[in-house]
Amino acid sequence: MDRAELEKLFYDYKDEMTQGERAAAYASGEEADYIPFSIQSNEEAMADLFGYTTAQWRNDPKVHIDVIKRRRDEFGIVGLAAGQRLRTVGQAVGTKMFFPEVGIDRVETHAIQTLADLDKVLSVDPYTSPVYQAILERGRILKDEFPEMGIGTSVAGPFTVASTIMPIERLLRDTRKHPQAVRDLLDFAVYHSVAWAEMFAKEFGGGPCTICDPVSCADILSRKQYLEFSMPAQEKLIEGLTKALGRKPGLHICGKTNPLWDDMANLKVASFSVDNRESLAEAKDRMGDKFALVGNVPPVDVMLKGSIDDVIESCKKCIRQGAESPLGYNLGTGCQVPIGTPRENFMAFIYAARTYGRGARKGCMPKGMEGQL
Amino acid sequence: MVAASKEELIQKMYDCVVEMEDEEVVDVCNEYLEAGYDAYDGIMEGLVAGMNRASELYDEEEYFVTDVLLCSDALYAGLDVLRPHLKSEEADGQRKKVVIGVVEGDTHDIGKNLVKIMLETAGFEIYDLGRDVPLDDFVTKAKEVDADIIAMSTLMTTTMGGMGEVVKKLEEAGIRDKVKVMVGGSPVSRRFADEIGAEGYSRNAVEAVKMAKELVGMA
Repeated sequence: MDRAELEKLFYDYKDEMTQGERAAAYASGEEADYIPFSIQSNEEAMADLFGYTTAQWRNDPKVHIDVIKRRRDEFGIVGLAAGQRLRTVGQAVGTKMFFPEVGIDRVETHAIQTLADLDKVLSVDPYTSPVYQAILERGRILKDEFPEMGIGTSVAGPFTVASTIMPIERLLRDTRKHPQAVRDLLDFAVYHSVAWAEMFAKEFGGGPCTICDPVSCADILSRKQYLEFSMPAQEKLIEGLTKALGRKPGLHICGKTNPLWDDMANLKVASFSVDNRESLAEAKDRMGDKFALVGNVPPVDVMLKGSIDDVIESCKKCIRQGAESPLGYNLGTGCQVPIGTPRENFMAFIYAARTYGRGARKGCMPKGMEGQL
Repeated sequence: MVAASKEELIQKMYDCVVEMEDEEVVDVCNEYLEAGYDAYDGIMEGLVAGMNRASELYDEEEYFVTDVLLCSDALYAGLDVLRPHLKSEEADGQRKKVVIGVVEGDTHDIGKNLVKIMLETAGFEIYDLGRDVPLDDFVTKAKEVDADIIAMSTLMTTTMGGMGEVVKKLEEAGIRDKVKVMVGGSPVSRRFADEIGAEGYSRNAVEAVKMAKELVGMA
């Protein structure tokens, strides 16, 4: 399909349901006009598409507002987010960060280099942290501008948070050398993230939450470490978030997770977003009766580098593999969509959701897939 | 007490590395030197062979990242003892040279460190530029040391483009044909490597060593 044809099909399309109606219909087992979709953490990529740098989007609420407005007007995507980023807790407790003009923030110097210094961070009170207050303030500005849109939040998983406070290689060694101190750090991570959720709920009255936990993958942790350290902390976090926000959170883990799935099936989450390196079909078989699944169009090879047809084919493949997942499936990207993703690939993704995800019902292949299987 | 034979001590060094004994290995290496045995043999047949075994166990998913890190701690603790006792020609040798680093804008380096450890163990001479490396530094260092391979990694999609820039810079510097380029890191794919003109791509540290050996004709 060429760009002109895609644009015509895209702009001629008239939604029968709003995003909220679609999600509600699908969740309650009714037929939705098409399958709910989510393009993970797309604000940075959208800002780039609309001619803004990441720093402008980050620093200037007016730019942020314009990105949300244009995302709504040009792609029909609504919804606000005010949440912790992967390294926010680290930043709040003293990790020095670098925020590039274009691109994702990163750690410059960790707050502590060894667990012997753990006390230095434990004293940081989340409830008075200016870092969190600034995120709440941005949320308030967005909500004032778009009162009709729902607002959601996000937190980083405990092991991921810990790796933004102290270097991961030391942390891994300390799972053997100082296991209790590692557990104390993980508990502290949970405490901060739940405290954040409480502040968010107090301000905005609850809402959906996504846990991003890239470090808690089988590329970095053994299953034994996952069971001994990461998973118990995830369980505490999930329980705390559910209590604070009034609903179960979703979970995304980047990279290899397949060796952990039989354990992860016990997590009390609403959904799991499957990285593109894993098989959605297998995820459905092993976890689909425990929570909804999301995924897993490759962000780099397909969204950033692929053609319009590559995006459409990849979406079809995902729908084919995921749609019959018993507790539901959202078409999604396998991880954050990269800055630089071309406009037509966003359009192709949404086109595919509308076309091949047409007539979606939880646990069933959408009507749009007839003749495509 | 009967003094341990050379073979017994080498076996102990090997076991210390595989079993992550970073304190005991120092005692064993000292005992080995005091008995007058050859440092080079101890390094190659004891420490390095142990690290190679750890790499195999990682490849077989018996060992994980943490195990490899702890094995390498034992490896380096032993090397610190034995290396000063190498005869100079053994220390220099004709090893293939690798310049390695995480590209500009990315401070993740756990994967790079694993590759570094395993390449070093496999007999490569490593020039580690660390993390968040300015692109020009790869080229400058490669020229300076007459490198055989440049190995770059990233974990972030936003910094992937820098790898392609390095390939272009090597062309501009006129040394593109002298050095092979290897790339890795979670967002990197074979397709991406082909696109930027990198000869080598590997999914993990063990594959990276095989790839490096192939690229320089050591395989």
